[in-house]
Amino acid sequence: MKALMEQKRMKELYKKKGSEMEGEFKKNLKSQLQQFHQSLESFITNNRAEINKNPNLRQEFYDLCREIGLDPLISSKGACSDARESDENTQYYNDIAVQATTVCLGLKNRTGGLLSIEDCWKWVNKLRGQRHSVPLSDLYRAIDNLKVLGNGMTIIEGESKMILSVPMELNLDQRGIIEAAKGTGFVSYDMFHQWNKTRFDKAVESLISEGMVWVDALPNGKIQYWFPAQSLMSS
Amino acid sequence: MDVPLAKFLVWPPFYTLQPNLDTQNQQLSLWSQVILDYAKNNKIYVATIESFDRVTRNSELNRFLSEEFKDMLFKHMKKQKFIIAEGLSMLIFWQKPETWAEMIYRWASNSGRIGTVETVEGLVSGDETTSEEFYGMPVNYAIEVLKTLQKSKKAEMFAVGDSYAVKFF
Amino acid sequence: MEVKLTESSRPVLIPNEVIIKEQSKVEVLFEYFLCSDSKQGEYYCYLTSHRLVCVSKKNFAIPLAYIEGQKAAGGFLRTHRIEFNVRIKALPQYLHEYMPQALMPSMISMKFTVGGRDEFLTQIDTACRAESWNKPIIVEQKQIKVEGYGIGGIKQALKEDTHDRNQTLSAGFKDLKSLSDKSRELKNLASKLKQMDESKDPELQEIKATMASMGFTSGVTKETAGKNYIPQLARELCDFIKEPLQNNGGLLPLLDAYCIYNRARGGSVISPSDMAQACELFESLSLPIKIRVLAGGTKALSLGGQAVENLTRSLIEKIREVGHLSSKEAAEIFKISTTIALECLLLGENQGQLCRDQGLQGLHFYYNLFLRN
Repeated sequence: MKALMEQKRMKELYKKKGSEMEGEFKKNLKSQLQQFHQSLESFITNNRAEINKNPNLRQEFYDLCREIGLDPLISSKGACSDARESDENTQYYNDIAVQATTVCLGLKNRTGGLLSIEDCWKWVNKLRGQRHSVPLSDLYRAIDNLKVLGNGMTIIEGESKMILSVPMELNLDQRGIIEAAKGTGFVSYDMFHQWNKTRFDKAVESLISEGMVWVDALPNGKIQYWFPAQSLMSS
Repeated sequence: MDVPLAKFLVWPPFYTLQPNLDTQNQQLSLWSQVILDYAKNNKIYVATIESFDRVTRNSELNRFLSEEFKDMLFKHMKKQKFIIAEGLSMLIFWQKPETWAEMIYRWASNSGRIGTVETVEGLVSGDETTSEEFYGMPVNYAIEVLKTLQKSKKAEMFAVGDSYAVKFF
Repeated sequence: MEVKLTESSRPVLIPNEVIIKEQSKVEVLFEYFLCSDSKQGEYYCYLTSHRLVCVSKKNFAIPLAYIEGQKAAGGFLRTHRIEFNVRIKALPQYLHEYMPQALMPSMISMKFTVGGRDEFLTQIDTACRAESWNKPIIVEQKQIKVEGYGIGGIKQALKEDTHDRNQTLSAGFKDLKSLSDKSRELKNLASKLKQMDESKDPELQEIKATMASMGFTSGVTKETAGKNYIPQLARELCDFIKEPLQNNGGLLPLLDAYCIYNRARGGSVISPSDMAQACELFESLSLPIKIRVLAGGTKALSLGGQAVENLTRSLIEKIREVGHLSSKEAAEIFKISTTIALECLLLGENQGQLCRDQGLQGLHFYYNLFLRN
């Protein structure tokens, strides 16, 4: 009986120690991988052209990136001016275009298809990593290039620029409400005293029906209308 | 790529039952996850709706789930089989009964218990299983779990006086 | 030697095989040993990491392993050629199923009637040296078991692993070739991480990005295909997007397709305009994928010409069954994109078969009971 108990105790000890050590291993491995991540990143940026020329190498290389969670689309902008369409520049804008599309499509079910261009920008930079972030103007241009693929991603101009990734048109009233939500992420009727209630309700309800707005019923009876695209998404 | 659950919990409209049915479905799924995570982290096997007031009320935000909302939420969770009602309380399966069952069966197999009879109580509160994840499980909960083993013919339960016993195959 | 082609007439690739260079209008002359017969014809040639594939009305392929003594020939006033001997050699076991034995010529001469000879020859040299067909496909994975095998055993396993790792990471990446070797070892490391219990560790999940890994494609580029870039891109795109289309009810918004395809290409993404141009060629190249502009303005790729109509019909039938559907519900049931679902529901509405109910509860489509014949 004593031997059995002893055996059991040892087993528990091994298990505990095992998971401790596994924890150590994981931590170690993580930091090693992070280091490798960075070296790999520099390598990509310095040798992008070479890698692209050699399909054999390219395959192994990008399989590896995928495995360890490194987005291979992190080429940098060429040194030449905007006017010249260099190969490097094209790669750069293409990368961003793919990343922007990934973000908008990926978040669509949370945002109803409406995303502020600034939030899209933040998510794209998150994908690319700190050392490879891009300026907002370049995101603009990349999205603009996507026009040729149809109306899948349209930029709504205005004070708060938004990206619309569903096939619909926003009317002026709806746009007005979106504008008003800039900064806080929500609107309420008392921000629209110049409109009559019916007009306001109609516009807001249409946005709710599209899944772009969530209703917030406050304990004091007031109602606020929130845009995930301008509040929830911000990191 | 998604918004983390924690972000929803500090977002005011999350606490209002949404009129848009698609949005509402999303919301109920998210809230189910919140409840299950809370139950898991606090090892809550059996609960009432009130047990979760801590999560369904956010005093900093000054928002809380209405009675109607809570009703809908727990109905939804019952439908999804995350919850089994038992009288006035409910059994919360933050892990599926089948997953628990596998765990118990593995213990039985590893400890040479196949073919022997155990009391259900001994299974969840005896000396032999103190290091197992299912240690401390309430008996009525364990019975639901063992029912799935019974279904897959890996065990059989029977009454012994006031309590239950189980035989593993 | 017979060669399998895709629907778009590109070679079906062996595991790990990539296409390095393509060249159109190559006149290939085959000479056979002990036979005065010789054959000639114009081919579209693919140089891959494993084979030389020539496509025309008849197709054939030569394993690179068989190529010997490749050299440039022809010169002033004569069309540039490449000539080489073909000598049958032993091939790795796994290749036998992909390269059934057939009558091999003993010598081949390739006439590059529209140019491209020099680049092609350089690539043949490189590829033959690289011998990609000799690299093993399955890399052995060392597993670490940390379940009660004794503290000693655990310590030893960790020690071995750390040793490997340090070796791998200390080497620099200055050399592309060494990177190619190292990357294999590092893949092992990454796989180990993968094998650990992901479900319990959100941090592990974070390490792995959520990128669509739909399998790498060779990736037609301007470098590999030269003047034939857009048409060949159209072909490759068509081959690739078939499966995603099948998994999405036969229809995908063009934007989604752009994203999926580029993610599979890895690093050498194509521009939106290249994609658009390639898609415009589907019709003229008689490829089975069509580009459609749907009612709401969405451009979509369609498998065959009836996908939109078929899907719309199915949606209408489903609505008659369950009463009403939102585009999200429809998307979930039929496993299609929500944009496509919406477009088809709109089409049904335009046809008068469906009517909408739009309000706070969302946009739902009902069967139109007021349908007049």
